[in-house]
Amino acid sequence: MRQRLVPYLLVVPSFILIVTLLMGLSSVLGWSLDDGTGSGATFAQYESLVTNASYRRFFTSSLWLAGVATAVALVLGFPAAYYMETKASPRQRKLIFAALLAMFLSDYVLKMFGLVLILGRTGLVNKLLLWLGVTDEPFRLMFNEFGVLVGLISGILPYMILSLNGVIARLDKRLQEAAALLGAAPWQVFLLITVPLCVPGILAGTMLSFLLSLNSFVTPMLLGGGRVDMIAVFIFDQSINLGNLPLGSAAAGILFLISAAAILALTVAGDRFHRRFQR
Amino acid sequence: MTRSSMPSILQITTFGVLLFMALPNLLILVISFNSAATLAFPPTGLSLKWYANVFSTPSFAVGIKQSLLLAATSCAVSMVLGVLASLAIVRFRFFGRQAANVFVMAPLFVPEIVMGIAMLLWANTVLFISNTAVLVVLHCLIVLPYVVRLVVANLQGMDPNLESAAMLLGARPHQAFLHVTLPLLGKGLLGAAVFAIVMSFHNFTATMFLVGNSPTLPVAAYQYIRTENDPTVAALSTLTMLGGILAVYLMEKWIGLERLVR
Repeated sequence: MRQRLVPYLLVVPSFILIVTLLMGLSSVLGWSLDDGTGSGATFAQYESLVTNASYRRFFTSSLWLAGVATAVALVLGFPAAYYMETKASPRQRKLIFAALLAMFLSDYVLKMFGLVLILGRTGLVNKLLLWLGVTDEPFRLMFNEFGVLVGLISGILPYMILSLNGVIARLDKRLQEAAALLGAAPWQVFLLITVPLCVPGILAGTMLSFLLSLNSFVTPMLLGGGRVDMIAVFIFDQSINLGNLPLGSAAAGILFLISAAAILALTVAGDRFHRRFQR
Repeated sequence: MTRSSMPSILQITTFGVLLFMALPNLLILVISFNSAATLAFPPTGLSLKWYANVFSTPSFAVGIKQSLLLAATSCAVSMVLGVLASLAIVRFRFFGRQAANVFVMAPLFVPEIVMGIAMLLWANTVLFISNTAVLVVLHCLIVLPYVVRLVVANLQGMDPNLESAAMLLGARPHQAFLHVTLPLLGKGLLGAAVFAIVMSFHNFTATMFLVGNSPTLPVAAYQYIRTENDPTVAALSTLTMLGGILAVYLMEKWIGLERLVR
């Protein structure tokens, strides 16, 4: 009998820790339904988030920016991961891998600061363009959506590439060769053989990148200068700066639901893919 | 024809992508040695004064201390919790094992900003808890899933017969764990610990909700960037990059980089 209790005793400490998070999450739910009297519950906060256009903008704009950033990161990351796994020498590969990991582990705030040095009024790009005579006036490359997108993409690229190179490394080369032998053009091989085989990695990388972008706080603050609306900034402003915990909690609740829906959708897509191709 | 031109396009894209990711760090490195008190290009002279300035800026001094303390504590706590939970998940067959596995991974599915506000509200319901203690709880939550994943992978790669052999020869279960499992896991544990420290040290978004008036290093850096305009933050970044490179080196040595992401 004592033996059978051992595994439960081993997981209890972790459980207690996770329970604090569940308590916190239920507080978020509680606050989001708060009607000010302390006894009743109301959906008024959720309602105003959906109906009030200036609140809704934070969500639509975040979803849009996260979607675009993820798509660009996928398009840029795929060739990099593909090169790394199929064309690079073992030495090169190891070097790229270490560089990616260093990037993955480097400080996000400081990375965004580095981008400010590139995109700012007196930053590298503008200095270069002025020097080349392309323009007389510095371009406005940050404090707008463009700056935020560059920041988001730069932040998620390491995650995207690290999610992709696993599936690419496991690609069965013979399938591509067979397709080429049967007369498929290189772009056909790529679209009809390579990409479908990489779907699990693409889904994982897309999900991770999308959620990370959606959650981004530093990027809209430093590269958007507070002029680009994103959910994380809204939640922080409402709950900390303006002290409106009910509204902040309701926004957090919606963000949680969006994330859960994204995870669920991509998991289902992944399962379908497995059932279809991996019997 | 296409066969010979394909790799070059691929090569250029790869190089471009890597450059795009590395460029911010490279610029920070260059500007941290700039003698002028601006962040503009090109640098005008060579100087190390911003490095000295990092340590004489009070908020950075406090931030470094706070972040190191937080990283060390949450690493230690989550390693203990994580190793125990991983042992249960890998070495035992019990009712609810799969559920336990999912439960421990739960923090991964909570957006960081939601986690921040959740723990803020949790802290308000618990009486007499210090800011630092709440931060430790938060960071343990953030780090635990990664620790469990790495330790579980390590345990699965280990031959359970070694433990059985030790017990067959008369070792009690805890002795088998201390004298056989733990030494064999050694390097894997060190790697997981480094990963935990890095994750905790750099956490920003969730931490932001709970720092109060003793900011961690990333929060201090963020506040500095928003108000000041000199290369001190660049010098600080260069120093943390050195830390990052050390972390990558240690992880490669102890668990292998491949293992970390697969």
